[in-house]
Amino acid sequence: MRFTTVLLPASVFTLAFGLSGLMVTRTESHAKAAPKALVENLSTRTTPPTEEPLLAQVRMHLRSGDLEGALSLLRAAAGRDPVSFFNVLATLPKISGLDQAIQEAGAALPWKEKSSIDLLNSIMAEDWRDIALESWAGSRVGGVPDEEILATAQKVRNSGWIAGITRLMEDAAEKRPTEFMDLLNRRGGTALREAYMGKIMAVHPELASALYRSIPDGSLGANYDRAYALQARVRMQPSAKNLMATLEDAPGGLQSSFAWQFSRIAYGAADPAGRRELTTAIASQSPSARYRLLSGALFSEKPLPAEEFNQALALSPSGIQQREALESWVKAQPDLSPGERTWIDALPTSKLRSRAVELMDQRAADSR
Amino acid sequence: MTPLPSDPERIRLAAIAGRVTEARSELERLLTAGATDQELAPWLSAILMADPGWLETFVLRVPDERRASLLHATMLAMMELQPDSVWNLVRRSPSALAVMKNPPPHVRRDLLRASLRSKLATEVLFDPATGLNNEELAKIFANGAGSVQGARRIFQECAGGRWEGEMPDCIRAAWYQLRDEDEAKLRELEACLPEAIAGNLAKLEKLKQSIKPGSLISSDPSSAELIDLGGAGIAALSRERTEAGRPLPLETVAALPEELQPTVFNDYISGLFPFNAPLAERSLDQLEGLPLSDAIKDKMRETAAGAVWEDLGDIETALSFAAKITDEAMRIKATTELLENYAQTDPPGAMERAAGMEAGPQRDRFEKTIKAALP
Repeated sequence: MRFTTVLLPASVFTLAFGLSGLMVTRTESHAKAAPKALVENLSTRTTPPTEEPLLAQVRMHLRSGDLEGALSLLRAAAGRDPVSFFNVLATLPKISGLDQAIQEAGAALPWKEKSSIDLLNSIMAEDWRDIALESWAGSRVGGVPDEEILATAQKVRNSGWIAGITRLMEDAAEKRPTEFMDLLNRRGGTALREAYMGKIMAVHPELASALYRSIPDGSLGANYDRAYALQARVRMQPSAKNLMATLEDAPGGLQSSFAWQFSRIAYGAADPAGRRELTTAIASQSPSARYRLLSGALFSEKPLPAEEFNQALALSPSGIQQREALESWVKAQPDLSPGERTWIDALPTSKLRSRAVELMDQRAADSR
Repeated sequence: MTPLPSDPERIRLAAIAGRVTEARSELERLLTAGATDQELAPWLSAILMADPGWLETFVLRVPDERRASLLHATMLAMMELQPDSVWNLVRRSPSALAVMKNPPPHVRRDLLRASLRSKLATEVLFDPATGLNNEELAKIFANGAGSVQGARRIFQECAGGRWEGEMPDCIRAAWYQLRDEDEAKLRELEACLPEAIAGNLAKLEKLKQSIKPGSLISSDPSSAELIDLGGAGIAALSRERTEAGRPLPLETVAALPEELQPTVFNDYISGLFPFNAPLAERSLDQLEGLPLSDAIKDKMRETAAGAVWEDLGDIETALSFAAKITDEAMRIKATTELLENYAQTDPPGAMERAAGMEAGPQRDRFEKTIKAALP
């Protein structure tokens, strides 16, 4: 039998645009006009004249240990001469104190120019690059068509997942939620709709279902994004109510493989009161739905407290699931002492109680 | 010169900016005091960024047995700071060149991938003085040239006849990059390529155009258009379209020459679950009339049965798909597995089903599994 698709947490994936992400491993690509090592600069003037003054001055300060002076120079240059600013940045290791200057310089870089894109691509330090990109693209929101911002930001390679378009997405989610979703649906591509759904859940959760359902067949990456958009909905609001509402939209509903995956997310994120609500909601479902939803509860990363565990266990229609859950729960608690067995009496069936005794006896034997 | 403050960050920044004296003293001190590679690397890399030629002098002070590991750590550190600096180093230092030509496995991936960001990578690596052969070069750039300048250089080298015969992966990777970042140059260079390679790239272009990123899929290719794409292209197109919820029409794919069919059929049905289950059902209905081997048809039915059960929890449909498998042994196996799994996950539901089954060994076995699965 084939394996069910299991969704990985979003952070595992990097943005893949269109076809080129399919056939080629996206590599780090930073073309830049490289200022050569200082030793070379002295003999051959290879950097354009406009760059040299700032670079030379910054280096002069650094050579006398005057970090503050170097930073001041850079901050002053940021908005006025972003090109020189970023060229100098490309020669520096990550130093703190420049974030705001980077924002300023990013916003001041000419929009859409290839030279700007090359410059941004040349920033080595990842968070610096993301700050610059977010400022460069984000400062255009509202002044330039959404699609232009999307298309342009994506030319800066190897940026963070939604760097450059975070502000755009937040603005769109608030002010033109459906229109922007239509744009994403037309353009296709993976992962953007998941990110956008996250923004929607923050400001217009009541639209989540309709926007999810708007993803059409024929849109590139549709099925991938459908799965992750559903996951985003649960992740952002892991309540029992939202879990059930989201599963209503998922193909297969409570019987689907999404049921146990999303239940797991919900149980992982909930506090004890939230977990109680989840378990109550599960209790009234059919056996096959309960089986799947309980997989999320019974095999969660962090073992449930004994009382909650027993309640969930009692709801399972399958003795096999119960047994496996018990074994997993015990294994996840290496500190559960073989001498302390009162919890065994509270287990819902005699089969489970016998098995628990076996497991604890084995643990006692192993520790001798 | 005024003395530098003793803050390590400032001393290193001063070194990067060209004042290496204090950093060198600190490096010497650390080396004598028995510092680790990780402790030495930040200092050595800062110095080498300003004065790469110094490595060959310094390296003589380092005991033989730790030269390699110190170099690895240092080059990786320089990679983080500024990929160009590593290539400047490789240009001037035989020791650094040796590492770049043949990095040990544990540094290889990081070193190469990051260092390829620099456009100097192709400059240095293609230099005959570096001494790499065509195969080695193709391998280094197999996942991409890194920079758009690098991609151009690779195409130029290819046009100059460096790689004959089968198109190496580095060309494909460079093609995608140039198409995105410098299409004008790509078309110019494509005109100079050897015929076989140009032919392969033409297929890639067709594939790219069939997908048309940026808009909804609105039409279906003919069998002839598919054949033009070649096996790998068909597989890629099929995957993209299935993921888009608009798979290649089954009858078109079934009309492909036999040797091209497996590129599609291994994944065709499973990709339709869970979001396009009705399409999958229609596909199975169509199967009988299509010119495909029984083996392929049965495999699709088996896959669909498994997917419907696991992804959608729909046992009745799953069993109905399994019932369509023509090979008896395969049909029995699929049905039995489904029933077993059903029994284990939903004993009450399975019990009801068993009651409605024909008496016989299958029902007996089924009931036995159910009983064993009860709480």
